[in-house]
Amino acid sequence: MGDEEGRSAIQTFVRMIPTILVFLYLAVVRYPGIFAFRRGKTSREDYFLASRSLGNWVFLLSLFGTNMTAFAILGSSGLAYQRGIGVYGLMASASGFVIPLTIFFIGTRLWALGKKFGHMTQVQYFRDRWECSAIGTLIFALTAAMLVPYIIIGVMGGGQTLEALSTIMGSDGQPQMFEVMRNGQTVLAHRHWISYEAGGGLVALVVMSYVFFGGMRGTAWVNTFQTVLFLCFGTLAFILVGHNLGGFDKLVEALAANPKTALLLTRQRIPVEEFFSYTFIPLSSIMFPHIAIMCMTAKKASAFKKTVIFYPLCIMLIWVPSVFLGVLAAGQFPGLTAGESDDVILRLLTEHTHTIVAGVLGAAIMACVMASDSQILALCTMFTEDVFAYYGGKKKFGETAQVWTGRAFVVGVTLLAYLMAIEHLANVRGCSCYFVDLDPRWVKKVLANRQFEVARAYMDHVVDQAITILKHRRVSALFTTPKLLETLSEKINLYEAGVRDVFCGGTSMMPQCVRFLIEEVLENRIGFAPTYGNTLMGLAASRPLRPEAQFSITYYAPQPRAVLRIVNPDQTDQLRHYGEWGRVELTTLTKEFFMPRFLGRDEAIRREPCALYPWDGVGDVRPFGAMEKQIIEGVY
Amino acid sequence: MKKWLLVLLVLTVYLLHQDCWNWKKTEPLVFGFLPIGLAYHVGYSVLAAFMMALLVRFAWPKELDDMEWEDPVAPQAPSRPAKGEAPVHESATSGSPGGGR
Repeated sequence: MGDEEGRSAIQTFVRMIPTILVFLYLAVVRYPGIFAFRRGKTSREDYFLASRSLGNWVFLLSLFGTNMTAFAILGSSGLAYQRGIGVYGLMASASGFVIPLTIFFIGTRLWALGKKFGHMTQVQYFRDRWECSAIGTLIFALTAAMLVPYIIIGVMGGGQTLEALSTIMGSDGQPQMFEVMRNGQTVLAHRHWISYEAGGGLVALVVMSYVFFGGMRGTAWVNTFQTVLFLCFGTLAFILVGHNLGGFDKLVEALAANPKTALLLTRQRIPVEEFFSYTFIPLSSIMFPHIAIMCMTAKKASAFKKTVIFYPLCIMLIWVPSVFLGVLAAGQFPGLTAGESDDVILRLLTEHTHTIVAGVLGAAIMACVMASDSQILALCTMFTEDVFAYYGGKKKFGETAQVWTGRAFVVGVTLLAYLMAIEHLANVRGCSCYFVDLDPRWVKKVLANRQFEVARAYMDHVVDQAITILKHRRVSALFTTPKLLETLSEKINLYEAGVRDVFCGGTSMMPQCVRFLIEEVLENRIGFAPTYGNTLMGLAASRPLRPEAQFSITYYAPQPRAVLRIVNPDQTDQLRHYGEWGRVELTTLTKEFFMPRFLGRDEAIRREPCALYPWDGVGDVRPFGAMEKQIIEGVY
Repeated sequence: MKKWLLVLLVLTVYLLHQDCWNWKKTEPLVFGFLPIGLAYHVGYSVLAAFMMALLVRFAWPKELDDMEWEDPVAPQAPSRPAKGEAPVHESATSGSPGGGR
């Protein structure tokens, strides 16, 4: 192996360090579960409540870790990116006071009652308190419905975190950009060593394994380890990111000086009423089964004393850096939408800290993201206690069978959560796509043979399929040709069917056709985005239509990957002047393919650059030679 | 400490969360970088911890500590009855060791 290859291999290894460290972390956290399995007994009390024996610090850190979900880290920074510093007061400082209050007044009593009467879940408490079986079953169903989304979010957070941390970096330390197809368009995007699906699957597997083996004891140990890890390295991340970006004071000054970000340093993006109403939300926390069940695991009542005192401080240590970094990210990565801003904290880490530090901190973030373990265990405890045992399963099969039923339930719930997290992918990526195939060459053929009836029947066939989809699925964006759009609008009210934007392309669209589509077909209520493209170029976007353009469309190629020029058809090395007709010439230059000066099938007017696209555009595109002879454009 | 004073303190701390006076303010920047709206709530979290310490000191349900002395080693909890079975212990409605009701 040559020196260059050796260096390249080392560089690749260095870039993969964050991913390797996260894998290492995932391997390590399995051990507390396995160790707890060896140490534990096979009784239900031991598996589900660790024999009510958790000590003071383990109780504090695991109870706190239980409440720290993917949202606390990723969601809070994403929300702060959008709404500013007020997110801390809105969601954290109120919780830091109200949650300890509920633990102090309700959690301690739940613990005492549980210890005296053997309660392991809230359902048992309610069944005893009201001497009513149905109320318990109802509460089980409601709390299960409440927990499942949390578990899914945990798996999704794991997938997103691993994906973001395993972004493929270039030799300059910046994320490499690759051309990918997204929603039918070639765009530049990052690539990752580990996909969202694989990352989510891996996290689900790890969580499942230590909950499966360790039960409550394993989960509490892992939660304690995770919370300590995050508290230590989260603080380190905060300091390092600030230092590497030139100091917090300068960053805040820059944000305050920019009118677009200045409001983020105040609370003006949060209405006063909303801010007040959020103080009531933490009152519900004690009703979360994983919190209530965790309250029953304390060895002594005194464990609650440290917990309620240190809880607000733990909240502060985790949320303040997350919220503050989210606000700072608005100055570093402007223009992200609500969903996109969820990984800003990971972006800050990967782009502004050393590779090894980013890896360790990524593992720490992963620790918080994996808080779904307690929810899985809580759901499993409730199922086995309140359904399996209550309806006679324990009496029939014994206590060991009950514990193994719980373990089987852990596997089932984790699998279900993973599948639902993957199903959610369509929403993460944008939306579901529905396609109707059509064969334009066939239509061209029948039109050339003057078989107009056949062409009409084929068109009806295509339109019928599209209408079936529009009637039975929620479609908000339509990608079609002008002629099909017109026909569709004759058969269905597109606006009432939910369509809000139309991408239109495939054939020439002269100004009168564009005016007709916008004003008559779409009734000025649905957005209209003309597109022009082919497999060699990708899609050229059109300049926003303005009144002064008189409905004349101008397209701009996706430079620098593709360049369009308007040349003299008789002497193709000569460019046409602005406003003159000429033949469209395409040059493609991507990493994979170089094709210089290919003369296309179209002609167009050379248009001037605009602010949005500072390079030449092509206007009123039509088939080459359309003025001399009639050209069949098919269904199109 | 008097119970009514503790209740008043808890309510005051709860209301102090609504710091309307900081709504539109960025400055002063605490430590040179923390906007006042965020710094206030950092202080609020510390105050919440202090308030909880006061509650633990002056309003702790002592009967829970007594319960530990009665039963210092974690016992095997009584088995829960299945549906249709008679409870093996007294009903939870008959009294709470925590003194909550």
